[in-house]
Amino acid sequence: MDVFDAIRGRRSVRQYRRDGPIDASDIDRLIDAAVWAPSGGNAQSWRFVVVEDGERIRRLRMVSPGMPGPPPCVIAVCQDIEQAQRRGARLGREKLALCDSAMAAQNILLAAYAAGLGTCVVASFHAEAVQQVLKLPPEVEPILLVAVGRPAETPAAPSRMRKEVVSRETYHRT
Amino acid sequence: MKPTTEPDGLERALLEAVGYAVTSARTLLDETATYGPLRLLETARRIIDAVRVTTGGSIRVDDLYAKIDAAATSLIEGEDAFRAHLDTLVVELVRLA
Repeated sequence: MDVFDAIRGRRSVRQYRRDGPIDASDIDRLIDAAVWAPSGGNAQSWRFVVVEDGERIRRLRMVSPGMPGPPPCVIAVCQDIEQAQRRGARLGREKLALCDSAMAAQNILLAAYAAGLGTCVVASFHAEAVQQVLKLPPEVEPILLVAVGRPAETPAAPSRMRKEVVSRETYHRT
Repeated sequence: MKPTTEPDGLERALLEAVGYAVTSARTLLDETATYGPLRLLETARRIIDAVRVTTGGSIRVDDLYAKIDAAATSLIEGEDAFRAHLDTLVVELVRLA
């Protein structure tokens, strides 16, 4: 699939088919896409937790108000904040850790779309509760949750601003 | 007081809805106000899920669930469409109750 087709075609999918787990090879591919994302100073301080157990997903959904579904799989994009600090100092901990997580998540979304899977990125969750559900150590913080599943809906494309958000050479207020 | 038994299906579904509502109360403090109505609609869906545990659902409940879904989805069309969907839903619920 052409990368631009994936960028234009991807949607946030909030309803998933309930016809069993996702192929392990597809999930492997999503993780492969994630770890090939760029990271500031090549820190790679991200951590990914793949959740497929229905009971754990049920508990995750309870403390993640933004989580659709229920999806058959959730990939938690986390950051080892201590490693981010060691590799990138304050910039790494406060900024790059978030940027790197977002870039890894976007790779997951595009790879999923190319594999015929739907995704939804969730930032609305209670971090401490998610840490508990996923048994994350204190230095590993959840940054984003990515719901993954076979789409049961085809959402329309929301409108996109273009001329209002792009300037040439210097910033122009619109 | 500590519970002595595992929650049954209904209690479990209700606990899930309560957990969701309480978590939303906390996360909404840091989020856009627009999320508030969506979280309330999702709580309503989860309460319907709990009802389905005991009754197995009904055409009326399934229809209500679908309309709540449609209302939530309509936000993507803009706030006016969302408001109109909710107005229609409120009036229907008054008739149902």
